[in-house]
Amino acid sequence: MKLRMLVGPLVILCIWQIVAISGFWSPIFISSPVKVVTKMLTLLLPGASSMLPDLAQTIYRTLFGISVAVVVGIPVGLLMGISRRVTDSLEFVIDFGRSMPATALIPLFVFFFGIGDGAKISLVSLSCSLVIILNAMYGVSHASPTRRMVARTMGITGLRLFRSVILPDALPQILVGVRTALSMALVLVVVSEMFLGSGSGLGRRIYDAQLMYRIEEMYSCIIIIGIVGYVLNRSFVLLEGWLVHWTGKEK
Amino acid sequence: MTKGHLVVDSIFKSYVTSKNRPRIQVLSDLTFSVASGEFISLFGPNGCGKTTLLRLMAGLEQPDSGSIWLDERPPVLGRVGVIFQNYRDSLFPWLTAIDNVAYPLYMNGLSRSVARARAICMCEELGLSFDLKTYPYLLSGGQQQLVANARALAYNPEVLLMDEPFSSLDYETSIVLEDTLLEVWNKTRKTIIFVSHDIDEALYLADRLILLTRLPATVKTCMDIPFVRPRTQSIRLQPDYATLKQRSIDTFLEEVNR
Repeated sequence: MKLRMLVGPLVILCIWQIVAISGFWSPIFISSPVKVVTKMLTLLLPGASSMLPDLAQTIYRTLFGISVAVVVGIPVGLLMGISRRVTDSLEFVIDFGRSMPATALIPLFVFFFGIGDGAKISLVSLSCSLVIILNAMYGVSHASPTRRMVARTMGITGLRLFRSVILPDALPQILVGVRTALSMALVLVVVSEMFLGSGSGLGRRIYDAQLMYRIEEMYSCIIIIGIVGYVLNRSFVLLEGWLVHWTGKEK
Repeated sequence: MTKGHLVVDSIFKSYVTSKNRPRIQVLSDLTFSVASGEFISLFGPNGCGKTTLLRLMAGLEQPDSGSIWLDERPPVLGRVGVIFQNYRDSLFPWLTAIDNVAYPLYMNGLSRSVARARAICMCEELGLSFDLKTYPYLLSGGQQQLVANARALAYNPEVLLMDEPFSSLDYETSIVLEDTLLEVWNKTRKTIIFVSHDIDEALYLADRLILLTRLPATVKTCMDIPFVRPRTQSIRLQPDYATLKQRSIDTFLEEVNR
């Protein structure tokens, strides 16, 4: 890790501090970084006002939703990739569904799933599985025809060909899909916690804090959710680098 | 019984490239035969259906009419080794070099350890001197092509089809690999059909040169390449070599300008 990487965050913090003490905006809307960090630390400790249960809820919903999407989306996408006919008949529907902003479906989900965890998790699962399906499909249909041919000349066909050549060839694209879906999942969980009636979660917490002008708490939760997103994404990138070490290295 | 006797008997093959285009006749009444253990070079104008012919001989596709016989039977997947021009795209980047070579063996029933041991033998025979536990993307082009060769030989196919295997390598590497190939052929006596774009390479390697016509491809002419083996790159100094090369080029140009 290079020291240079700290320059950007430090500059932002300085600007924030200067704006906060300049008095340009009322302290009702903007608090200083020092106060926010102090507040954040107390909120991260266990206690009555701790944000830990909310943090846990948000992470739980995100991971639950993405897991369902992975379990459903990868097999469906692989199937679509293998069969030209299935691809042709479903691609438009899936692509249309994916292009539609998932948040537009929130009222619909309230109708069918109420306002509990079921609605939030199914919203996340549905939207994320569409992204995963499309990527898994492209991964399979864009797998190298040469490698497929090589294996076939060796007498390897059918399921063995799929398992040993097509699947590993599609894996990098499948993981790109999962990574995209993962960041989408967090966005959707936070939004649905704000607007899909909820008693817990960081989205709810940010919204409530804003309504009640608990300004340090609002900034704290925003930063924490940012950190969650960053850590999720970085961990996934590390996992990818280990699972599909060959991508981007073929000269 | 001698193995690797290949007969291509009056085959026709046509393709539809897209819906609104007429069918293209790629191969038309193409006939030749290759003796067991013979080394053949296929040479012809660009886009003359050499790759199509290779796919048919490998058993990947069937001719529209006519037949191909490999030791009195139609070619079956798994009995013919194919080495493609694009070695980057033909190796499995998720497997190490040694596992690439072992792949056809353990996929066809050997245990991993036996397959790997055999693969190591094959690599030693070919003189692969780099670390076999590295992944293909860390190897040079020549090394990758050697791994592809070792893999195609490892499952002991009766015929080896090579589709311009050295054409995307630099000159020095391709010259070295030509000699490696001749050594391997000398040891194993596999039947080899070598598609080439380079007349010098074709003449240096093969017993016989088969010149194809433009589309629809058929055999234009066959030429024996009589130089004694083992050959060295200095055969190019022989007057016979110059005559033969000139004759092949003349025939080739005659076909190109037809």
